[in-house]
Amino acid sequence: MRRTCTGIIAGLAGALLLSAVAAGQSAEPRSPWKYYPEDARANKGPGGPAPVRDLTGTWAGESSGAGVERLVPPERQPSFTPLGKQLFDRNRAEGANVLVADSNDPHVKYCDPFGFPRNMNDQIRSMTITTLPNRTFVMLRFMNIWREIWTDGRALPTSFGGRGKDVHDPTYNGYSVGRWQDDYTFVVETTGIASETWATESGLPHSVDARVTERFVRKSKNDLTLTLTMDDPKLYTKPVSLGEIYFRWIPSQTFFDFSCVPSSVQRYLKEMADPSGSPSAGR
Amino acid sequence: MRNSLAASIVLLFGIAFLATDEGRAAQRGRISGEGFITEGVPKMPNPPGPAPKRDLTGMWVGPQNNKPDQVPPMTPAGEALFKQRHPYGPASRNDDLGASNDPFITCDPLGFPRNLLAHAVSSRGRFIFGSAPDRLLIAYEQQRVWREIWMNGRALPKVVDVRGAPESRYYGHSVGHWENDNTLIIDTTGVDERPWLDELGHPRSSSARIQERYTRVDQYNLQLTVTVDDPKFYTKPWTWMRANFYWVMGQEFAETFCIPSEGIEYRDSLAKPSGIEIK
Amino acid sequence: MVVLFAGLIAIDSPSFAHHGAAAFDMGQPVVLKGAVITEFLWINPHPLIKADYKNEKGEDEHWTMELGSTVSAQLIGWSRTTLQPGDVVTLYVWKAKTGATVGRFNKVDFADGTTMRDTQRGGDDGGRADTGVRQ
Repeated sequence: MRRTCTGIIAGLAGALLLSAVAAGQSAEPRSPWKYYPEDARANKGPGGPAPVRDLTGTWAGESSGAGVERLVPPERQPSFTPLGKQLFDRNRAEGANVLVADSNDPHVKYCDPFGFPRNMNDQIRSMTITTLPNRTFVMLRFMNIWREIWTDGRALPTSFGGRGKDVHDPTYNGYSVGRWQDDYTFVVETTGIASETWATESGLPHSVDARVTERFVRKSKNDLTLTLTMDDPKLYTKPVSLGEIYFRWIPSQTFFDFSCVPSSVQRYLKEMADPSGSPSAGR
Repeated sequence: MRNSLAASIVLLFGIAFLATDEGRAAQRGRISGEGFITEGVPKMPNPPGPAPKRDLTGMWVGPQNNKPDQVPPMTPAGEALFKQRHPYGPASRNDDLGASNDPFITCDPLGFPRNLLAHAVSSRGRFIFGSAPDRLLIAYEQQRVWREIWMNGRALPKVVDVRGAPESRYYGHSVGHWENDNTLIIDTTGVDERPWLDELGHPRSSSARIQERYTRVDQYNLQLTVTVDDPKFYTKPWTWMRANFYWVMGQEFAETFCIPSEGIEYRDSLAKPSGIEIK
Repeated sequence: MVVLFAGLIAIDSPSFAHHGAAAFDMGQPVVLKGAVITEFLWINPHPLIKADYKNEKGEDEHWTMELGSTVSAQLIGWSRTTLQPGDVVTLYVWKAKTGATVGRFNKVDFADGTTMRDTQRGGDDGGRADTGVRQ
């Protein structure tokens, strides 16, 4: 008995010492409730073969510190129709040429939800996927919201807004259906997205009839790649690439909390953005 | 991976009938009376079978018949915080939206456990359970938020928001375990202090311990008891919720978002005509 | 303290990927020696550091500066407790061209000799823990 106890204590002490050394810090114990990007980054390589038809788990995306490959951003100059260009020109995305105070991005001004597909190509630092028999949920870290993808073989709705029994309201996340194209490729189609949302941070517009396709490819245990394409003939003369996003498996399955809080955004705009960026403040 | 989850895999489906889901209401023509267990919640056609073991699979709607304890006396710190808060709505006598500083008016997160009250649009909300390695996940209709419940025996954080410790979160840090074949216990702490505990603005510290007990009574009925233990702000623990959740027949969610730009516009359009200044 | 990681890309010219660098004078940071932290708002889109500073004329200045988002800042060791009201520090800030006492945080020197940097514009490479980290 005593020897076992000693053995356990010695083992624990050894483990603690090792983890402290590994952390490069002085005796600050690891908490399972915290995300350590260096641990995620140290998890190199494929980690094993991709499980069949399974994306379940918590993933690290762009700017997560997990050593994820830099994403390919959405097209910046897609081929617009006249209506598409008109709508695009109205959107003033915050960036090198537009100060925060001058942006009319509803997310920048109010912390309005991104909506889909922007919530899959902007601030996509981490997500958790869970699979139920007839649907898959994508639970996003940023803003702590989820998307629902039906896998029961149903068809997408085709009419949105207006009157009548069969009408579906446009929503921020749209209506999504998904299916496995092969054992490692999950393809999702979404439509019926409320047109007040921006498809990208750069302000690409979309109509409610836009159809966005996501291809999730599970390359290995540790690697997942997502490509997004938007087909919206009213606004674009051909399909638009919304980017290619890489994800790495997080060994601890934990990530930082990350959200904007509307009242905090209002404070930020009032106390920082306006004094530093509003044209009137400079006069 | 699903295979590694063992007995703690829980999939919950339920169907919630949202009173404001106009499509459904139009189809059915009514949302109460015969065939409904309560307003907007259709009764399942067959009598419920027995509760499956360690399985809350389904989408559930509620809370119904909520019979909480009275909120106990607060500590001086709790009282001081409570005084600063001005609620609105049917839960309070103050119906003047313009004078309320409820952070949810401009869509700040409800936080846990207030989100269980299924605020606003209707007084009911749906939720569904999923799973991921070592976790249960709960997806809520209200504000489309989700929570993560660790089922692998880890301990809750002892403290938050001090150097080296985890940060408090709007939906807290949660662990869960099965007490018996019908009862799931979830313990939560480390909730951010800013969101209100309830519609009246009661405070809740980040050191509060909040426990949910889910008891699956039968196939269609889930009872939930929530207790709050928060010595920083309250003189004793109490039962914050004692309610029933019912199986959702259609298994569909509505998308329920509080949109900040709309919230701010609404608030300001009310305030200006009435001359009330919003701080 | 978090170990700063080697092998980072050094950026020569100021360029906030998603921000109006045009709003700030990126020539030389303003140095606020002996500034007293009054508030540290751990919020998004950017945490805000508020500090009081007595300038050479003996006048009180109230400063507000932003740093990289909470997630980006956490990658290089920031948390909501990194700065506390009452801390006496030296702040380096890129001041707004409007002349207001607001700006983009550059770095902070603590009394114990340690330094914490912004995510991308630490005056050098910001000590980022990852490449291409957005703000």
